[in-house]
Amino acid sequence: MEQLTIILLSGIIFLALFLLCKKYESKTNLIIKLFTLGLIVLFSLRIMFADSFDKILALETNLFSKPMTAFLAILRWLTLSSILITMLSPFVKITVYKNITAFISIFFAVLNIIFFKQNVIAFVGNVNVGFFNYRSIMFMLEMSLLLGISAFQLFLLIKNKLLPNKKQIGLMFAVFGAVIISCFPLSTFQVLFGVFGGALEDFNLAHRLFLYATILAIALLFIIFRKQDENSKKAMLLTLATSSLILFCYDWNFFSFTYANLPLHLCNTAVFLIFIAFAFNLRSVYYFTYFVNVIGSVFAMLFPNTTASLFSYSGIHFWFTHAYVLILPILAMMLGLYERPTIRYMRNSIYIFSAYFVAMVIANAWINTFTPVDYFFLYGDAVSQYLSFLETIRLNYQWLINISNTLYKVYWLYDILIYIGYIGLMFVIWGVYKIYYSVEDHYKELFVLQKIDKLNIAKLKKQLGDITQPINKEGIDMIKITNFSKTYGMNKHKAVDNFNLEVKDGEVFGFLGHNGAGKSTLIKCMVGIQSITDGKIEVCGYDVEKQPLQAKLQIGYVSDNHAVYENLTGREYINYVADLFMVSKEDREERLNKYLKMFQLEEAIDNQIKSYSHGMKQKLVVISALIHNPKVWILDEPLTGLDPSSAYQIKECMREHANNGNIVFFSSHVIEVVEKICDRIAIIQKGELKGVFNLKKLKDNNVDLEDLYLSFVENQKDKNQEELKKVQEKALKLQEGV
Amino acid sequence: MINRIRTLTILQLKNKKNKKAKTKTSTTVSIVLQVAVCFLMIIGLYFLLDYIKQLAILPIDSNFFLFMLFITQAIGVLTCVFGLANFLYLSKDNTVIFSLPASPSEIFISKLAVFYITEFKKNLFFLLPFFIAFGIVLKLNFLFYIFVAFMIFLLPFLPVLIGAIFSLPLMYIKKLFKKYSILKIITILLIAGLVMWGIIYLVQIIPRPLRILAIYQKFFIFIKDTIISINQFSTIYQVVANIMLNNNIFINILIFLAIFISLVGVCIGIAFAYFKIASQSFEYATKTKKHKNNEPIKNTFWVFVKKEIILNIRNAETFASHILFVVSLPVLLYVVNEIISAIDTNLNGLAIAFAVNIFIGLMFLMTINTLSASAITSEGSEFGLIKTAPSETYKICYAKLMVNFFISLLGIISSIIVLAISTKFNFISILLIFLTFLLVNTAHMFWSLQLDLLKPRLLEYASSGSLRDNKNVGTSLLIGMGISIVFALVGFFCFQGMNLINMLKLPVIAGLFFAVRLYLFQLNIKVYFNRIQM
Repeated sequence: MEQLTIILLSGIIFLALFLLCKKYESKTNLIIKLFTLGLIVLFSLRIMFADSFDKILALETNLFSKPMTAFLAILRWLTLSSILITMLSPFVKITVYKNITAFISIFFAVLNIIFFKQNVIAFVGNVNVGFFNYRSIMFMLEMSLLLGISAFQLFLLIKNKLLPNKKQIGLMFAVFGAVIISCFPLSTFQVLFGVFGGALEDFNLAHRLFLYATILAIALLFIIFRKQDENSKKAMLLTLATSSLILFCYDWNFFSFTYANLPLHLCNTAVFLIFIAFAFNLRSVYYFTYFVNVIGSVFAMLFPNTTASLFSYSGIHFWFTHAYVLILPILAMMLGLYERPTIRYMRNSIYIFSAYFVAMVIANAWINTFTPVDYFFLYGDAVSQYLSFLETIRLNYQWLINISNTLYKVYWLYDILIYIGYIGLMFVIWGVYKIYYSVEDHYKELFVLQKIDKLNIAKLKKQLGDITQPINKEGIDMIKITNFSKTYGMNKHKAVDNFNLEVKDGEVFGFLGHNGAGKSTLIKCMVGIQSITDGKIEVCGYDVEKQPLQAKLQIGYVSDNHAVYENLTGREYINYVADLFMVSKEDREERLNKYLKMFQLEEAIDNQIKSYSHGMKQKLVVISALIHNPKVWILDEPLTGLDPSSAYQIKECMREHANNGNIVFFSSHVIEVVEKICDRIAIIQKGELKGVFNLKKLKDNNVDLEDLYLSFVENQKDKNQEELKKVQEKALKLQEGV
Repeated sequence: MINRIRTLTILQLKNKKNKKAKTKTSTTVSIVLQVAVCFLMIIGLYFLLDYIKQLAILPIDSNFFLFMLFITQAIGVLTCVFGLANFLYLSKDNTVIFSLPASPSEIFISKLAVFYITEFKKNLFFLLPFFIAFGIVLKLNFLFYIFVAFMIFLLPFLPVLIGAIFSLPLMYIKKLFKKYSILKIITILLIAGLVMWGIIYLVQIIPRPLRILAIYQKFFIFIKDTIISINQFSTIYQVVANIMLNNNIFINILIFLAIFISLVGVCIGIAFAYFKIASQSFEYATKTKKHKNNEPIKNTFWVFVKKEIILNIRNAETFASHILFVVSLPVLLYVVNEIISAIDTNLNGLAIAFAVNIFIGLMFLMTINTLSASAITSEGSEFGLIKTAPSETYKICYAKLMVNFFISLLGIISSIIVLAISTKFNFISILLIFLTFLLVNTAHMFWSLQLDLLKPRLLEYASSGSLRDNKNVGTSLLIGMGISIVFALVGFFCFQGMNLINMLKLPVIAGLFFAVRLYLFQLNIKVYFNRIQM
């Protein structure tokens, strides 16, 4: 009789859905949502009514045989999961939920209709249940809606030719399996196996394992969903939030209302708030749970006020709902569904928390006048049992208010301390989140950079086979700079912009520019001290960025700050550099003796460098740069602070090195020096290459280098601008032949 | 003159703090926060003093007042003596300041003013709240608070003036140490040796078995006597305490003024000779034994290691601190275990003893990892040499860890030997401690270098030559403390019941931690080392 009624009703529902959707085709989803709301209401009422089946322990009941009891327990579990997905299906934008509704929910709806009688007996705990029993009617309606909606969903899939392929079927069962794990009636394990296991308390093994599992669940869900699309992430979070809501509400019973059962504890409210935040996308509510409820659940899980075992009825109610309250807000942030909170959200959370706190203080004071309650643990000794000094404060600082002969009690100092403590904890968790964000950002960046590096190396290997070979075989006797640009950090200003240059062997090349023009920046990029923002620098055919080791082996570098390890002796320093450049004993001794003599450092070479003068250090740096007889010798302002004889020696050295078929590249802002020793020069101003000039040609055409240089520098008040312009034009014409 | 002193003082204060420009709001917030801190200190100290008074474990009286005053000011004097020796005579900015149009005595006064302000601020956050809390607890009269108002301005003069006087001989001692660095090492080790001997002596006199409850009364009587004995050396602060607590006010004010004027007089004398003393050159040519060995090293890793070793040995202070570290850790663990062994312990007590050893051992061990936390920063402008070196980055990084690792290893081995001799732990336990120390400390070493790798302060170090404000060092210490607490807790749980399988969890967790840190370190050096900018 009941089965026939259900089939009839579901047929009517199907027909209603069909006709409405046909008439209002564009509003199909809305119509399904409205019918689903009916299912939600009926399902919610069902789980909040008493359920005799929940009292069964280890299949011991006289209502059913043991196999039937076990079958019913599992059927109820699976039905709950399928109803959960059916309820969410029209509200989430993922296909797999629709497939589950169409194929799995319909199956369980049919199974429940077949075992309708057993289900209703399980609800009321009596085998004599009539057709017109209110539980029977409610369940009939619920199953009719489930069958009607799922059948209509199946119809839509067939009509729209959206039947799932093999992969989608696999996914459908995988998702359903995951939902089964996340959502189950509180009584399932108790009915099947009785109460097993001990209490999770005092960090015993079970307690620790559950804590680890919670952390693992966050990690696991993050790994699974981090690369999924936003809809899947949202659907997962909403499903888990609904699961937690179902687990929480399952314990409610309409006919046994108590004030103590009101969901006013912080974590109780959290179950509702998290669901509301995800279902209605309310950001402020979400951030409140992120700051406030997470702390509450952490403390509840660390110091549980229950001795229930994990899979007992009340154990599931306590442990799983708290775990959800901890996992969901954190996971939502980790998956990037919400932006990182600003202080504004923190402030709002504090406001909401303050209002909640005051409300709980009042509720405790009021309700305790007629029945004992302890909302947010502001009235009893739940917190002070861990912090004994608080108990003294709680008992000694009371505010008693007498209104109409009713005595209201507020533990004012205790409450204030709890409030301050909790706000403090909110700031602590803010700090923890901040640390997490910085770690997350760091490793995100690291993995991106690592990928780029790996790609570059792979590309180079593919191109060269052996990456120790020059990348540009034609450029083995030159420095080649192509479209080079450099910016510092987040600064948009380019220190050097689109710089192109070629310097060949046998040349002393001067690099001229004012202070801050970009000379040192370019040099530092050439020798590998600074990174290259754009473009390419090749030294003797080796790419400085991609083949740094090979490129550096070709270079001898004299820095502008004569930095040396001052606690080493001069000889130790030279040997250190020579070892790095793998110079043989014979070569290093020969070169060292030559340069020591040349720079008159024989006496000082075995003294610690900290005793050297500025000039001596500069000479030492020059020796160290030449100890491996580099193909390219790069000097940054080498003559600054040197006495005339030392300056002369270095200039001679530069000339000699170039004459031996090497490249000498040096920067300076002293025109006389450049004029004397260079073959060619480049002028750079504000990061831009203004021109490359052959000094001999300039000299032959009577172009004064000083005038040429000044013609590129702005605001030369003492000089005739027109004359300078002419010099510049003349030089630029000569440049074409360079 | 006053204007010049004011300008110089502000200039030096700004330079010392190196603060960013403040807005009006941030200044107001900062002031409000400081007042709030001061207020909280008063409340906190009030409750503390009241609690001590109610428990009657220590009398909150004039002796206690003098003791606190003396101790805080003695610390101030020491800070000023050492600080001023550097700031007056050895500061890098002296060359700049002496070239400014101000007389040396004005510069001298401005430098003292900088220290006065620092001392004043310190007093504001501890001494003032203490005075007020003390006054409230003892219900002292209004006169006390008037003297508090005066003394809070006058007291900072004393450490600064005393510091200015004693910094002069200290500067000459420093000069001598600079000339003969071996003297410095010997002195440091001598002082450290004396301190250790004192500690070991104290540990030896602990009664066995140690029953804390039984010696509770004795202990507090001992503290009371100690306070009175220390107060005998308080000299001028006895006078200050007398004035504030209303004992023979007039005669004490006269004594105070006489001392104050004398100190000012001596300082004026120093001010006149200041330029002559401060402008003396401190540079000495340090000659080493001549050796003309140019033997090459073929492995670039060992080239870097050799350089690191030489640099660590050549710096007298660093070298002495390394030796001290290696000696101190076993001594510290010996002391801790002597105290623990004096107490009767059950199996649970043994687990606590184990956890304490892990905590203290790791905490102390990890302090040496500040070497790694500043390894790149301390290259300063020389980092360019490393960047231009044709070598794989991992070789450079691992070479930087070698000295740190070697010193840690010596510390661990010596500690393990001491633990084996002085504790009840069996061989397995000792072995597990060794493994835990080695793995956790090395992991922390990787983490510390990673911190510096990611945020090196090369330019700051190159310009100041000081690692004092290196945040990476602070972060490394903080992380070290966190790790020590976590591993002490893990150790406690693992050693409950002394079950071998349970105990093995500790090195396994340490090994996992080591593996994770090594992996992350590798990742970071591969990606970031070449990207460090100068």
